[in-house]
Amino acid sequence: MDWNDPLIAPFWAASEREQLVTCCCQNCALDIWYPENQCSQCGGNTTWRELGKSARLLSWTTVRRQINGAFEVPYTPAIVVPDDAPTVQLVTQLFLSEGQTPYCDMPLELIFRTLKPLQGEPFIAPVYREYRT
Amino acid sequence: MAQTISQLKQRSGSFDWGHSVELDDVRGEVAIVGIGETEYSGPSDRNAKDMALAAVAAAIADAGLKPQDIDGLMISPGISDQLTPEDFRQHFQVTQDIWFSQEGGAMIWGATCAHTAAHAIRARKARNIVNVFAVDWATARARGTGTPGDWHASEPMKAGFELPYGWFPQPLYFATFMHRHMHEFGTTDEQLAQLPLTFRRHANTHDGAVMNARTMSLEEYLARPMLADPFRVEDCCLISDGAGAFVMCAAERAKDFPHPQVVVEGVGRGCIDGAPYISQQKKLTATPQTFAAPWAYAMADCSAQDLDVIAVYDCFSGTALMQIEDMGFCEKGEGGAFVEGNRLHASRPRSQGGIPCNTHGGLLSHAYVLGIAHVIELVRQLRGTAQNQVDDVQLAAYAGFTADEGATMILSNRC
Repeated sequence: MDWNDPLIAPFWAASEREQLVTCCCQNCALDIWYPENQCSQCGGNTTWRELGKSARLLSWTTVRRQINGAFEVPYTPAIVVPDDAPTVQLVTQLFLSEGQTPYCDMPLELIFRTLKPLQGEPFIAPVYREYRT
Repeated sequence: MAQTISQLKQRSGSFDWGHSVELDDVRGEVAIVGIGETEYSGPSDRNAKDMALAAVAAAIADAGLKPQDIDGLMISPGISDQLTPEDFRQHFQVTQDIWFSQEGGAMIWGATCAHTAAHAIRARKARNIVNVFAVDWATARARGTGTPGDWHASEPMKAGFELPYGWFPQPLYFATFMHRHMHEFGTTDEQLAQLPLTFRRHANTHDGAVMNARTMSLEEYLARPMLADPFRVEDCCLISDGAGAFVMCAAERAKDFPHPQVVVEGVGRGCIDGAPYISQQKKLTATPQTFAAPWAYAMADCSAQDLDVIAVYDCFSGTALMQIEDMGFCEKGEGGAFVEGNRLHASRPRSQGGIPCNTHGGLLSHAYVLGIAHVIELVRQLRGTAQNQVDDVQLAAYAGFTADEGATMILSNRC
């Protein structure tokens, strides 16, 4: 994974600091996801802004059988929409408490976890659990 | 009455998650006059180029032509090792100039190649064009030299934001999308099962389908373990070796060929906003077929209700279900109920409220050759020579798919 890419590295650097960020336009404030150097709306340069903790579950799947060699199964990748960035669809993973089952539109809360891929180094990633607070 | 292309152009700005590609009218310009294919299989140690050449040779012979008559070649680059004009000349020991297009092959290009071919024929760049697609993914996977998911690791944004979470390859994308469909519309596992079950039954009565000898009941399907909720392995396409090809020429010449004529009546192509990143698609319960099918209907002056048989890109059961909705056979979200009652089986023709779909078994049970065999099956249906022949077929549609793009081709045998 090439996390030296200047359009990708700031997201993972922020994650190390336990912050979730999205790329956005310096000029018109449009969120730009996936990141780009220029705003597709006004042509302005882009920057990064921090997002809050609450989000909504757009959808999810639980990987039950080893299909890609990425993680031990089962694990639950998901697409979530942060409440303060409604045009951003973040691919992430769910870490729900025992007894909780995911459902679309479920309210979620951002947490940071160390993900341990089957190949490569562990890394800190923004992930989600059920909304608690 | 279908909408006209000019009406569609006025409407095309009104979608907030994708658009139709503005293809000009090629209705009635191109005919498919020859079809050819190889054996379809799991790992076979055959290579893609050899299979492509075999399929091309069969298609040329089926058209009653000779290799020296072929002056156009269409392929899809980037998947397996596809043919070049030089390969063609070397193999068939011919010397003619060959117009070459990399906008052919299967997936969406199995449909849009007819539009590209129409322009080449109009411009007198070619008279007899062969479109071919070959894939050796079963052999490649067995050797550990490649899989259908390889592209994802090479794409920076997917590598940066999706692979780290293990959201790949394709089964995970469409399992995620299918959950949303189930949530919004109440679609059930039993309804979703109707697609793999019907396509399996077609394969069981279609010699040459990879799953020809393997039957499957609803109970057996439901008892199978989940691969990635809500998909079982049976909801996911096979991984296959094989090749298919078809010959196109000007429709006005079609009567000079050995088989009943099969004419291209309409072509459509649609694309999502934010392509190629389907994680960013703003409507997870639909496909870009939404923007492709209406265009093809407008060109062909028909609607979904006029079609007698369809072949829908069924990389996953859920993507086929959504495309059937997006083609207008029922309202968005009603696909689950629509596919019940044997609706997609060859034995229930349009006169009985059916719409036979993937009568060869599809990508789920025939072979994963990315749609080229879908088109070949429709040509056979229109000729009246399909193994699972549907009664009184006059109008057929192929729905192709690449995830971020969809395409539609309408074929007819009307003189």
